[in-house]
Amino acid sequence: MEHIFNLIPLILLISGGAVILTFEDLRLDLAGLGAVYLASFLLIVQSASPSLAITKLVTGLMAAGVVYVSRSDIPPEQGKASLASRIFKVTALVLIWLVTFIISDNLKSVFPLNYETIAGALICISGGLIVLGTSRNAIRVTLGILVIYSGFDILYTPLENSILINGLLSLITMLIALVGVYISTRHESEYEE
Amino acid sequence: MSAPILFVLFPLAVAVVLFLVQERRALVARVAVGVSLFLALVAFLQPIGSLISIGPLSISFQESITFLGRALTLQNSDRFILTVVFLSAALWFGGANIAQTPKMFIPVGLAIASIMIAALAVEPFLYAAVLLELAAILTIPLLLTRSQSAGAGILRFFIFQAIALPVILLAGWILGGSQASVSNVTQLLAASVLLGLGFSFWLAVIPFHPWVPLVMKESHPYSAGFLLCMQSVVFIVIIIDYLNGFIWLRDNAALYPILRTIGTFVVATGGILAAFQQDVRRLFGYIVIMVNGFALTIIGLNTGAALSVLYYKFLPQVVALAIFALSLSIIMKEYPDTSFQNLKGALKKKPFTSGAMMIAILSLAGLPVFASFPTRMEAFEMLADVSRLALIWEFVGLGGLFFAIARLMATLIGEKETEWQITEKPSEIILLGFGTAAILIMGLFPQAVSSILTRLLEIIPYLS
Repeated sequence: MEHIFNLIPLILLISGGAVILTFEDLRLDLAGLGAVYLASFLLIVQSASPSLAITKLVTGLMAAGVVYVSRSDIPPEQGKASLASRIFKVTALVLIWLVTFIISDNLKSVFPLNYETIAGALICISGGLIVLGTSRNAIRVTLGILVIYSGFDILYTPLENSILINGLLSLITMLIALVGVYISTRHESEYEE
Repeated sequence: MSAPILFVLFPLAVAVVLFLVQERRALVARVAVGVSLFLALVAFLQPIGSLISIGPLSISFQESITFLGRALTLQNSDRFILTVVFLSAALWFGGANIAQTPKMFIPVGLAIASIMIAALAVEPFLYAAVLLELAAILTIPLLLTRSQSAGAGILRFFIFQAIALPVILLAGWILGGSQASVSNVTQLLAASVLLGLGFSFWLAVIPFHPWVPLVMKESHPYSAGFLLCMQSVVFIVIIIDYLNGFIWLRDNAALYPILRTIGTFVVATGGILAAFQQDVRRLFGYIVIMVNGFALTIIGLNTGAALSVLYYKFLPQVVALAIFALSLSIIMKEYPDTSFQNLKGALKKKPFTSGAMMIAILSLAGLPVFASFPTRMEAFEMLADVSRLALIWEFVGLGGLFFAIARLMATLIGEKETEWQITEKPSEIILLGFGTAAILIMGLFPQAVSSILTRLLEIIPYLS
């Protein structure tokens, strides 16, 4: 670890990902997503311009807000996962994160970024992929995609400083939230695994 | 005036206006067909970068515009694909009202076509993925209308299209950096894997394919068909752009056998899976997967002649897919359930529609006399020179498809007792008639069609 204070965003990313994966209460999931975006901001701001980092944070929080405002009608206790399912998911997550911490150092030869930024991005991307792999309802799939995009932003924003591309990526984040909500309103088994 | 304004911003603006008046379906269809045909004609006739003279007035038809530090550039070498995209759009929009698509189909379709053109025009071309993702997101309201609930197919489409973007952008960034130093093997390996994954998500390469038949089954066949048809043309052109954009990638001898193998695997597996389908809409999906597999195989042949064949096959492919989707939509008015079992005797109740559908499928399978045969035959000849094993596997795939076609034909013919009757409307018969005539003309007189297209293909540098 190059900077010890980067433990804060990494812990935020880990806890955010774990909350989204294990709890099926939309409010908790969105709080987890908020934590992921905050952690992304803390990592991005170290290697990209503060204005870009703030743009990403604001867009992410707006996307989370769109999901909450549109789907806050979903009852919090519905579709409670079993304890065994949660244990399985957390175990899978922990194993993948261990691999992530090990391989992040090797990826420094591919991406000119510090260890924590690469590890943070991989934590997000792997967490999002597990959410996608274990979910069948549209809102959770949307949250999974947003987490993956957040990880991608951690990796890509310091590398690409084009205003147009970053603007389009922010637009896509918002559109993903909107389309996810749109699909979820038509989905057959919303918030039930 | 510049080409990107005419071919990107103008149709996008028209799409916005048409979206606002989407209730007036006939007017919307006429305007969209007119605009698409006009743009196809301009792309076909007017060289980009020259002066347009209208009487005493001369307008400079420039290649590019700059927007927030990035350029949209359309050159003469893009005129072929511009013609194909707008001609395809006109064809699909022309049948939209008969197919009873959702009201927003035409405006959103026109917007998708123009965004796809923007993706082809954006420089650096690495950013095409961002625009294609925008187009994919726009498609979702089209696939998911008010009257239906979202199923697994649309969700998977959403997932795969969304994941493809970051993967391709990262690969593009690594490739951009690798141009300067091709000695970093780790970087090149990472870029190749990411690029392969991204393109596989886009083209629904097996095993990332399940969303294609599912989306076809869950959505309006005409809307889903339009999406798959446009994607199968534009994505392939973007892949060729990527290959030509990076010298080390283009000159990498290991790449082409890999592409050929993947393409052959997709065709063989797609054909075998198609043989077991029980629903015509799912069969449509598998045929699109096979079409993409053929395209990858042809790119893997790595010659200018092979790429020319690939470009020539776009038009027959688009026409056949449009006729297939249109006939499916017409059949679904009477048979909402398109399972084979339910379509028994449909040929005798809807002879023109069923006939057109069979002709379209046979054309997509590459049977003689039909539109895709000349290009398919040429591609197979080239493949035989390179790898006979690959050719055998392609035939296995085609065998599977022919088995499915034979089953479908037997089902459509149905029982002997069923009496013949014509239940189609005259407008449906006329449109299907034009489509099947086009398929037959392109199959019977391939030289005539290719001579028209050759002048546009000759100016594409990597085809010479």
